[in-house]
Amino acid sequence: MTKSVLLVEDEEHDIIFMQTAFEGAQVNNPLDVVRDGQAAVDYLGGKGAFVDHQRYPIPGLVLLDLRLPQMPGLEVLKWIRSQQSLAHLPVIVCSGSNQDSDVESAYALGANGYIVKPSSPSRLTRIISTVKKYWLDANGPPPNCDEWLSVIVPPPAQE
Amino acid sequence: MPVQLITEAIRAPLNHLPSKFRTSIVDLTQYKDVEAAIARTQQDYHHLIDTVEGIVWEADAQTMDCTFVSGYAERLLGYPASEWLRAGFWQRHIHFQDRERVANELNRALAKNQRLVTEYRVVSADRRLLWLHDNITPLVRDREFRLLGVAIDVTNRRVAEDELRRAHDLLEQRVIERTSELRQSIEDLEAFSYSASHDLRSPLRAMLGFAELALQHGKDQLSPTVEDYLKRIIKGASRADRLVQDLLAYSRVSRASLAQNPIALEELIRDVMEQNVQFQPPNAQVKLQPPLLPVLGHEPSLSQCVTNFLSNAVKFVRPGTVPFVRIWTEPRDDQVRVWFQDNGIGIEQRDLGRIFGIFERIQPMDKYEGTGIGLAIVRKAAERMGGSVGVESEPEQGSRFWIQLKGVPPNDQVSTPGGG
Repeated sequence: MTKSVLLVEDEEHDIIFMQTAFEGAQVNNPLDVVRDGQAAVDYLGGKGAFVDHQRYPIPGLVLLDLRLPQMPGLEVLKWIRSQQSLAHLPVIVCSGSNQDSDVESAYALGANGYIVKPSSPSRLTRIISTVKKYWLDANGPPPNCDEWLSVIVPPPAQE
Repeated sequence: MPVQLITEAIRAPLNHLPSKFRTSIVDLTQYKDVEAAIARTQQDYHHLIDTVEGIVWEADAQTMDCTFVSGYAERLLGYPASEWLRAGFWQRHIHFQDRERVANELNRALAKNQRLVTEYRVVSADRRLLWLHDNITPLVRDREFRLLGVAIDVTNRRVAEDELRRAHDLLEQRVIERTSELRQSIEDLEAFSYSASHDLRSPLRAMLGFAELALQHGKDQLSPTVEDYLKRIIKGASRADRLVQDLLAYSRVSRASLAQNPIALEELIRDVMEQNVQFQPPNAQVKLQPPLLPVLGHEPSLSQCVTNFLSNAVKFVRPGTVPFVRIWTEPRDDQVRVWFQDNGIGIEQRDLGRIFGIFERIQPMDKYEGTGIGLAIVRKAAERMGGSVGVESEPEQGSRFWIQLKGVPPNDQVSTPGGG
């Protein structure tokens, strides 16, 4: 079963761009979207609207924005790392901010990566392509993710 | 001639009244002379006492009642001497806040038989409050404990001291307030930067993104006019985004830490070049002339300066020319000047003065893109690092930009960049 990717993002256009980039990079993993910090916690904790674990399984990767309603992204990150079952879940912060303070805070709280949202969709597609190749295809999943299997994709085109 | 007659009876036999007397005549002249001399001396003494611009006083140590007070007392405080000698005068006229303290000090001085210097307030006859500086000596005369003192009026000095203290306190208060205001300003500025980086760039990202997607989707279906309009949207939004990014960079260097560390210039410049393809061949030729002296500064800010200098050097060239930049350093007393020489279009004499100003652009927009903030950032960063910037240039002859920073004193370790 293919692991899903959870996008935590509240800006409509950024959601569209991410979905477009996933298509452009030919990522076959399903992309789930939650629009605020509390929903992210509920989703990953299997609570509230997300009790159906079949429909909403633990994702293989979280793309996390920092500016979120209900609960800021850094709080969500802190919560994820405090949960034993989620401590090693790969989380990449995906933010409009390139401020040093945000980058430092993200890494300090245990983010696996930090991507500054590019202003061009084609650049985002290239970034997502790289994310896919590393995090979704090549990277060894953390233990306890026994159902991790990535979809077979055609070999990458010669660079 | 003053004389004294002394008659004494000559001893008579027992039970008999004396019948013979002897009279001595004593010449009192010398005695009277001495008496007169003493009287004159005392007069001189009193006269002297009275001219002293201080209250010379004597009091009984037990009752604290004055037994003598000089004429100045009346001149200063308005009470005639006779009043001073009344019982309880001192207690009534010393300021109530000072009474106990001075009484205690006097008792201690008496117990140790030591001199006491003290200051206290007294009320004058016309209800003014004056400060007296009193020099008091305990002494014993005729087996009686006495106090002897000289008190001078130091009201002016005390008033000046109080005013000074008040001014000092006011100043401290102001400093605290201003520091707090400044801290608030800095916090506001940081909040603005944070907000700008998220909130301003987000809608710009939307504009750029959708315009680009529209161009992609409508590849062969759009009329050239619509395609052109979409491209102009992208151009406008890109420019706005670059302005926001440059303003954020300006804000960052304005708030950068004032802490200075030794920086290995050569490594820093090579890092900048590695991170920017446009500074590498074949896009540009950047040559470092070793050795590049180390400098004292703030690494991220200096990286920004180098990036901006190189960006300009690479951008402002005649179309078709490959940009060529030469970088070297020059010691200047305890500072180091870093030169960036390019083969670009150069700058007119009249523009040299304003080129480092914020939003100042020399070249027309359609020829060369730019926000007019790049060099303002460099100047701001240099200033914060305690340095300076400048440029020498001629049109068509290229330009020589420089940034001058503090040098590293010998024996200091030089850090390798890449830690921040």
